[in-house]
Amino acid sequence: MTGDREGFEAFARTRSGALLRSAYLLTGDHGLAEDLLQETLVRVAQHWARLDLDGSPEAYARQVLYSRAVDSWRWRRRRPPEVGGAAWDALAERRAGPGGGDETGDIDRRVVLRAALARLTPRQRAVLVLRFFEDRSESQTAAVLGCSVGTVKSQTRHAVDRLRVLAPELAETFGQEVTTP
Amino acid sequence: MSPELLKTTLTDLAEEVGAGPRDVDGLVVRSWSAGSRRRRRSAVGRGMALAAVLVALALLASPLGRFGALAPAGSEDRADPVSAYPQRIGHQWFVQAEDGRGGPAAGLLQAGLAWYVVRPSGNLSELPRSELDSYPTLSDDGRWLVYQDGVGAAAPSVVRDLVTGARIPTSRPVEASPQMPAFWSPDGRTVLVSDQGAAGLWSLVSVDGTVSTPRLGEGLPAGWLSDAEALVVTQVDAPADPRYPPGTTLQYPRLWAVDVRTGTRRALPVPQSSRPFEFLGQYGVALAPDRTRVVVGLSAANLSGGQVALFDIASGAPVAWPGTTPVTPDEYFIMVPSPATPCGVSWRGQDPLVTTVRAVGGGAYVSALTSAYGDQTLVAIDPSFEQPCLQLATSALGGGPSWTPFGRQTAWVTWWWRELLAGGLVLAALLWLMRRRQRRAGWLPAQPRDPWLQRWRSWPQRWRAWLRRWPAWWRGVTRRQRAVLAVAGVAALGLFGPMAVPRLADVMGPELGYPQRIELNWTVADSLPPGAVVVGLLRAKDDTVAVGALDASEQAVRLRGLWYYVLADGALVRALPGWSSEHPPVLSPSGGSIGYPLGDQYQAGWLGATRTFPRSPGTLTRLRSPLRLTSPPGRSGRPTARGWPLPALRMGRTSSSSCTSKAGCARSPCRGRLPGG
Repeated sequence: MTGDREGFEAFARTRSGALLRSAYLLTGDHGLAEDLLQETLVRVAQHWARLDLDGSPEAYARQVLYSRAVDSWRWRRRRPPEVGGAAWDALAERRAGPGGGDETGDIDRRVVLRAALARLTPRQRAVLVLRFFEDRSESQTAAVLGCSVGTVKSQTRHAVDRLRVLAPELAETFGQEVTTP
Repeated sequence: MSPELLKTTLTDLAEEVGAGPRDVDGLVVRSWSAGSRRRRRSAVGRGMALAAVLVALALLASPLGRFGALAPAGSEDRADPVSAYPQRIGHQWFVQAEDGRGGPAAGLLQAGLAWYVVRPSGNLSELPRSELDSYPTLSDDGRWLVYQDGVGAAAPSVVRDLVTGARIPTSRPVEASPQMPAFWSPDGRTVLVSDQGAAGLWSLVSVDGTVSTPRLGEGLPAGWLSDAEALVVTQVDAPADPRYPPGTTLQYPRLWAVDVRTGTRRALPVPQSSRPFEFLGQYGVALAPDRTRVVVGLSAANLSGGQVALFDIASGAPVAWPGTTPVTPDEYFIMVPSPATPCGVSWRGQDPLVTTVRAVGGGAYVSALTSAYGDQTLVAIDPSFEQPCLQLATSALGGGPSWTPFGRQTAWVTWWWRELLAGGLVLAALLWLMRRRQRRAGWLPAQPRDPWLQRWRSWPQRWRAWLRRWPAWWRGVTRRQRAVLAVAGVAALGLFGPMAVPRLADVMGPELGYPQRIELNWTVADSLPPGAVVVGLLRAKDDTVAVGALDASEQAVRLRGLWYYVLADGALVRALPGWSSEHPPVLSPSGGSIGYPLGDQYQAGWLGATRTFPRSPGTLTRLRSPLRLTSPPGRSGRPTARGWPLPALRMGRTSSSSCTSKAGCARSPCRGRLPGG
């Protein structure tokens, strides 16, 4: 048991940073990201003996992280609070203000992207993070999310289309080439 | 911008959280602790689920499952006579129709218009409800059953083999008369049933379906003396008797042995009864299984608690009742200990058993199959059966009782423990599910960082910590979940409340122990309260001085030489004056009936409803039941809680007691002087 704990602690300390970053992209909030990371680590600790033997705690943690991020909205019966709203509102105010159109190009692209991601569904967000942040292939993304490759393709297309509508300022960022990687 | 630019933007966005969690150490410790707890809970849950499955399988295979034997119908393994009877018959939510596949039956139970077949495990299956007041009858070995198969008034009587499940078709329809019992021959091959379509209103049906007409002649059959001869009873009206209230129908029985094939009638000795009987109906005479004795008078006893006598058939001589039951001065009549329901008699050897109803207080009643001349309860019946009538097969009573939880206990909780257990499990599962949802929603209770300390925390600390978590948990419960809880609570109250609230006092059963302390400085009631159970009698000696003893009107009570009923809690109720210390009154073992001389007469009957009999000189010395503090069977006479235990009964300032029973004093804390030694 002591060996199990030491192994888990080593895994958690080395991988919690990467997992937290993915969780942040999935939730858009630092606190929620830490909650999601803790829930993921609890699940990993619960099954650590088996995962340690299989040698795949990282894959299991990723699967738990993304499935919890997607499913939590479903079983909570309510949509989680949308983060980034303040930035979105600030952006709108700047647009509406004098010379707003000229200042658009100066807005931090990260703020705009975070606000736009917050408007996506959890599954669309998960697909984008897996595909473009973690560089997963469509089949690997489908394996992590537990869905078909076709679903991954359609979700990617819908996510990009929705981003294009929500944030036309980033249209050039997405481009057509994004939808056909 | 290319996908690389999007990836760069996402990476920049992810870098906002820094290199990692703000409190990595705490996060790791909490995660490992929570994961360990979940692992243990999961293991416990799997173990409990496995245990539940095993228990369910065990229940299905045991008598608790109330599914009876698992042997298929027609198995020759079940051809042996039934050899066990249930100790208790509880309610069933789902009662199957009797299909003959449950094996030999232990008896029959009537409740309202419904008749149930009772298996040795206590499992019930219902017979078709007839528009008539039909009277199904079971053979002595529990294998053959005759009943009216159908709901119509003209539904025919049929015979069913409970071993093979076969329904025996009769050669011609048999239309049973209402409220007429049937009688199985000693060999169990022929049954004598009432038949409105037959010439003599009776028919003989054999187990192969052959129907023939017996030649009984005048009278009502009461059983079989042999495989060929039936016992037939005729009534002779008796003249008015001053010992009975005016207008009472009085009769003497005449017994006949009738060959059912030839009609030959042989007169049996006249029962030498010292008094007539009240209305001998079709249930008034019952034949013992050994065909040597007959009990007379059960009809009146069933209805009003009248007297019952036992006679030897060969000589007509009365047979003294065994046991310590108070008897009338002529020794041959007993008082049925409590009101019995109007139904037939079961026999355990030569012991006639009747179904009785006993009030236990709080408006609750307990039904039981009890001995007619003792207070021994053999089968406890659920109070939800209204006016039940239970008859058990002779072979079943010849065997032992089958094991059931709580045995013959009659407390409310013993009848509803399954529902209470199921409700508790459902509530626990509901709370567990809600808490699980909260955990999955991200709420995790604060845990100490050091798991070693958590492991070795004392149980009080754990309990307080658990209590501290509930407010936080309750705040996390959504409105919908609270509404579900509220609806479940209201439903549980609606389901169990009406049953539980009026009978909370009866949850632990009636208090039937004996008092450890009796004092006379309490208010002495003038009459027995309803449902009171008298556990003894007490006589204040002539030199007793009362201290503060008052009656209901706050008047001082003169105690010298008076008799009192002693209730289970030590309270005293003033008895009738005039009892003699030379011939003390006699209390039945259940405390339900009493007999005592009063002047030149003899009073006997239930407490509060005594009847008067003329006193016969010299008979009182033959009373066999001494006064004693008693408790019913199954209860070991525990002392009640009222009062401080003292080594002796204390009565007033100059204490004095009258303890008239060695046995009673040996079982009670009484240390008073014993009469005669």
